[in-house]
Amino acid sequence: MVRTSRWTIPGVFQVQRLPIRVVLITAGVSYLLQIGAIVQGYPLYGIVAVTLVPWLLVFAFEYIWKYEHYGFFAFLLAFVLLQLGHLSEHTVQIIQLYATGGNLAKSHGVFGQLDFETVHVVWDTSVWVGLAICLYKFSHNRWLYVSFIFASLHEVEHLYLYYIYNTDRTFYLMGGLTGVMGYQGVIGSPLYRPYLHFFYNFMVVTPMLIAFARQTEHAYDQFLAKALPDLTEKELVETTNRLERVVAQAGDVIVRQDDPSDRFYILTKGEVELIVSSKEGWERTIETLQPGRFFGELGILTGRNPATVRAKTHTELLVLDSRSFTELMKSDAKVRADVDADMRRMHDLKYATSGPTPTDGH
Amino acid sequence: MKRGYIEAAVFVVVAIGAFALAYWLAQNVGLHPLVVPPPDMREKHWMVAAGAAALVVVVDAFVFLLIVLKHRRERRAEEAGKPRVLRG
Repeated sequence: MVRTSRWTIPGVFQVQRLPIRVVLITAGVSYLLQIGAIVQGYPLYGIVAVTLVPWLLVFAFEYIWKYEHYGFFAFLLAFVLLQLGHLSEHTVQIIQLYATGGNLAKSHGVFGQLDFETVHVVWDTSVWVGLAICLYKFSHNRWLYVSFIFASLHEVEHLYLYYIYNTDRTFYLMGGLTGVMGYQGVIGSPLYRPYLHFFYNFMVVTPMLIAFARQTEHAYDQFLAKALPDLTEKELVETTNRLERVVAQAGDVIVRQDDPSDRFYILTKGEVELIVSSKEGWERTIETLQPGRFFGELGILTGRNPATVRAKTHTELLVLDSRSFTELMKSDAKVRADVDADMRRMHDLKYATSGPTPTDGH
Repeated sequence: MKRGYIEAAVFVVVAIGAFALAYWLAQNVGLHPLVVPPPDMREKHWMVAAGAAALVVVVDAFVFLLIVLKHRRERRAEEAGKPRVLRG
């Protein structure tokens, strides 16, 4: 049976790969584990960890799907989420400091076991390098430059701290951990280290979020761009937000010959076969489509499907309703030409089929 | 253009707000135990800080160079009438 899920704009922010029931089950399991951890008296990091664990698979499946469809933009999305998590950790730490009257020994964030220089330098270097990669990829996004500059300043701080930590532990413990810009550090400022690093992270994350919001306006489905390569970027983004995801299993009939048609399909995974049949009872496979190809346009324009389309394997498709498809055709002559060419090819294939061949099923 | 100003205003307000919060906490909550380097040791590792800054500047410059080259390639392709480069 063909399964359909609809999403509204912008699709990239929604759970697109997994059915909503899986998300609800995950939320339930996560909640139960959280309650269990609280009842068992787990420390804060344990409670947060068991709450997050069930979501890891959901995030992994979603991330793979989004990467297949949105390309490198999916990396930016994951990167922003991780950095928000990092900023949350710093925020928790300053809340703990406020609550304990500035007691650093009791204020190490949620995952306090990870509060040491090696973890800090590895994480912040990853952020710095990750931002450099994002910047190269989305080099027209000005806010990424702002975020990258603050990440670079932060990196100087952590490279210094890591060196001191490893080469002069005495100095480190005698106040060297205050760093370059911390209170009475090499340059110095009025901010003690935890407050300074909270500020650094805010200055990295804020422009990153603005950059992400801007980049979302350029995010479109790569399969749509492959199927209709002459769409403008604006059309790609708008059309992406009108797409539905459809899943079919091997043997499922996606559209049936001569049935009324109101949908345009783009194949994103698996294979489908186009089958024409006659009143005499013979049928013939005229073509097998691979990901990136489309069908359904002839049905929309003539009102009837010219062929049956059947899934050969587990198949995923993107679907556009006839109204959106017709608007797209009206607005763009190049797209019309692309679709016309495919329709002519389909027409030729169908009418080149004058009857069954010895290998065809009857 | 207008949107750019709004984004810049949001950024400035957030930056001032974050700094004000950090400063207020530093002044009113503080940090205990507060260990700061003795004055004679404070300047001890300034060369390390300069080295870290130099390393970061070199890497950043390399990234910016790659971006400049990328933009040049895009511009040349555009001038040659090759297919547009999408930013998504």
